[in-house]
Amino acid sequence: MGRGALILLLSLAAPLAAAQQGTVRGEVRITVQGPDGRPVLKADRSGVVVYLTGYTEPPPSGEVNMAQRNKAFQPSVVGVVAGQKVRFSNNDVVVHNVFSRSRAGKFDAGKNRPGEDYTETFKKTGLIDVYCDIHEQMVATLVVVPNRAFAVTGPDGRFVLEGVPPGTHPIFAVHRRDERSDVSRAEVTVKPGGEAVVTLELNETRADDKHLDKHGRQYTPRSDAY
Amino acid sequence: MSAVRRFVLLGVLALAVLPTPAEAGRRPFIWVWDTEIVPKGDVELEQWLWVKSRAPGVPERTSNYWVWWGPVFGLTQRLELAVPFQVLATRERTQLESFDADLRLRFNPRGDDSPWQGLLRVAYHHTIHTTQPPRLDANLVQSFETEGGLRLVLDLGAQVGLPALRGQEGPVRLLGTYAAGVSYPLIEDELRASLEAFGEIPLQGIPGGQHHFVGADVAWTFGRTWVTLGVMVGLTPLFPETPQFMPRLIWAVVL
Repeated sequence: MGRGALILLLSLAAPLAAAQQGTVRGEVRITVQGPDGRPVLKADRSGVVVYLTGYTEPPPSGEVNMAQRNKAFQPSVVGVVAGQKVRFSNNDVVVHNVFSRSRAGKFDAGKNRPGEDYTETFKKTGLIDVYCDIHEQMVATLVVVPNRAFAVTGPDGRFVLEGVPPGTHPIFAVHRRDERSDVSRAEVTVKPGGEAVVTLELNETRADDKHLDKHGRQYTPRSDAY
Repeated sequence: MSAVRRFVLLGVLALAVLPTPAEAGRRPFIWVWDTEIVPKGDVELEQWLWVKSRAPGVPERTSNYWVWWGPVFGLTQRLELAVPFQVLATRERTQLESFDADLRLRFNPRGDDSPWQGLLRVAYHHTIHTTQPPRLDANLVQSFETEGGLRLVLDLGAQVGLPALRGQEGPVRLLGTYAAGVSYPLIEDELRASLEAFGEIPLQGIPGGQHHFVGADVAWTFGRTWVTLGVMVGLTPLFPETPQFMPRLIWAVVL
């Protein structure tokens, strides 16, 4: 076979392979405890990371940005592919010290002034709790996933995962609001070029935002001027 | 009391007064400079206790005991500055020996994910109460770390003694140094075991022969503290002017 014919074959095969990929569409339902103690559906179902496992893909070349603004992380929930860089930009008017003590991605960005940033690469899959060493109220979550089939839900709890290879894959929904995460697991089968629909159920535990500073100590009370 | 016994006693005393809960060694070696630096805006208080024992080839030279103490400032994501002083003790006397201004510049900023990292160390060592002249030190350090955490470091340096800075006569003294180490994490982010080698080669104006050592270390990080403890053993049978032992305890607390 000539070289030209091989290139032609490959160029025809590439879109064919893409056409073989499927889509997973669905919804996350979150149950919380109502005032009377009975379970009720939560209205706001945003900030849930839904992702597939069972195969790996290289990370996108671009960076993900997690900014600090008004003493909060924006966005506060981010999904990244293992090996991807995350830029922590201080877009605030005060100094921040972003850090994590999580096993999957321990880091310490140091004290960054407004306008400065720090970039870290997350190579291991897992949940990474991100905090500020100066402002205890600042809490964010990075979910490092093995492939590009992930999404973060909006208020309606709906998600779409595209470019999924055919087969049966574990699917997870992670809703992390404190040291304990709510995790839901199911399986989804994707046919070549097809669309699978799945509903994931999460039971929200009571939030407890207490955490330690970057050295493992209780936070020291500070003036709000910082 | 022998040098080693005295060092161990000092080490035990030092550990006894460490602040509560500690976290893993920023530098896993006692002699090889490494490429990790203090996070920007942090200040670390670093202390060394170390000993240079006698050498069979120089029987008139006594054992020396040093305390190195100083703050280390994370100035930027690439640069840290240490401003230590050293106290030297011998059997006869204990006195302030030197002040240093020690700059360490990473070629890539902290957070860079390349397995290869480089660092340039430049230090001014101002001597007091000693016959040694002030000197300038420079080290070029290259580290490589695998995905599994195996760390290899090579550190090549030079020390330039400048008698003229203290109004003394005499030629400029030049000492070449090399150090290399390999370190492996026994417990990720907490405990490392390391092997290292170190040597000093007089190049100009320094009487005496070469010194060569090999050694082993253990480094532990806990909470606000990291501790590295190790012993260098002199290759005395091959180089008789090499001290037999150089144990060192380093511990640092983030303020």
